[in-house]
Amino acid sequence: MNNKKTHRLCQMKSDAEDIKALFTAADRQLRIDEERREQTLALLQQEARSRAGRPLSDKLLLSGSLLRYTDRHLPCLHLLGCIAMLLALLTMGLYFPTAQDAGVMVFASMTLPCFLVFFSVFEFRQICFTGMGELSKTCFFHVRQLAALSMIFSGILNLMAVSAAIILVGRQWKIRLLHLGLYVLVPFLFMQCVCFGCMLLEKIRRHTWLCAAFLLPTAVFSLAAFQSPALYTESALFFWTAALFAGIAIFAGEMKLLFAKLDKGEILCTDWN
Amino acid sequence: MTDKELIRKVHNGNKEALNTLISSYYDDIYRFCLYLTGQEADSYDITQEVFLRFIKYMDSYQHRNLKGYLLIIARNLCRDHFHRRKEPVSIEEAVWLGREDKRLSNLEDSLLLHKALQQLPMKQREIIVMRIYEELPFHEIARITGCNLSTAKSRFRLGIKNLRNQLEDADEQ
Repeated sequence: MNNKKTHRLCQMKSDAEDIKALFTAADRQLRIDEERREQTLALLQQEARSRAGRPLSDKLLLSGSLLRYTDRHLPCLHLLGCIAMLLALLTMGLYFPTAQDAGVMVFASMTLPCFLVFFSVFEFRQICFTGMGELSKTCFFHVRQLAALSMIFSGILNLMAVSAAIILVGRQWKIRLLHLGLYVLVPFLFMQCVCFGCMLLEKIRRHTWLCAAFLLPTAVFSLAAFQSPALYTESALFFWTAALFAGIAIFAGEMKLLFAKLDKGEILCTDWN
Repeated sequence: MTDKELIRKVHNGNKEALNTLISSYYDDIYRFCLYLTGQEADSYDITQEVFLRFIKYMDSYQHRNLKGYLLIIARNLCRDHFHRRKEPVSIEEAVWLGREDKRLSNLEDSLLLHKALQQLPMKQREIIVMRIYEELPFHEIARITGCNLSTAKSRFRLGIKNLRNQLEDADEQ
């Protein structure tokens, strides 16, 4: 059986070499018309000149148009969500003002920012599932660029809100900012990884509400951490740092996969296969 | 100059970059079209259209390999050409043969190849040209033709088999 296959492969290779020789012989017969080549070049130059004069080639104008025409509802809701999260922390501060309540505040600041991840997912979803992919051929901007812009914007908003929460809680309850940063960012990254992991899976991609179910294990994890003082010791910092770097690596890998899928058209409705 | 730099310069309307684009890729694209269509005049028209379309849609260019991208456009235009033209190309239309190399044996070989290629279905022909003539790897061929890797390989196997049969038949005649 194997011999037969090897023989077939050898035969095919030899056939391919024979055909290549025929192509080489045919190439020698070919003469390319310089006049036609020059004509094509002249047409290209003319087309390039006409394109250079278009207002769309102005990058500043393009960026302005993009900001002007992009749907701002979800980013505004996201901003409101960030403000609400900070206000919730401030309100909790009124009920738990003493140094003994620091644990409760750490738990709150670990859990509340996780809600912000939903805004990022919904913003990403809006670009992928609202038919914008169908328009990408007619628009100047590629869907990949729009998705990247949305991710950058929501990432900046999330980071600003989380940093504000860390500074707010750290200062008021005298917790070292570096430590608190680790405690807050690890569950936050966990949520990001889970939610964007859902976006990678075809079967649950369209059911974003499923991501909400993952808030429960995050809350359980935060609560368990809240109940175990050993996790907040100096020696446990190594665990938190390792978890943070692992989370960053996983999230980066997910983003790469997600954008690769976007490029292939697997996520957008432009995939006709 | 890398493809990326070339595209950036072409995008800015740089004349030299346009010259480089044409001198680097015009001949390859023309030959590719000629082997697919078998017609000289149509191949020139298609090649011209390939470059014009590239300039037109350059903003949405995301491919990593510029030649691969141009081949995709060329392949699609050749397919359009075949949809419009129903009847096969005759040997009389292969006027481009024998212009440069007047040796009879070479001319016979080229005619043989031309005839055999035109007998193949378009799907097999394009894969034969990409794999044997352009020497592209199968994964790149699969990307250009929009099929999966195993389909590209099986079309190639079938194409080789059919082409061999055609060549043997022609030889016997």
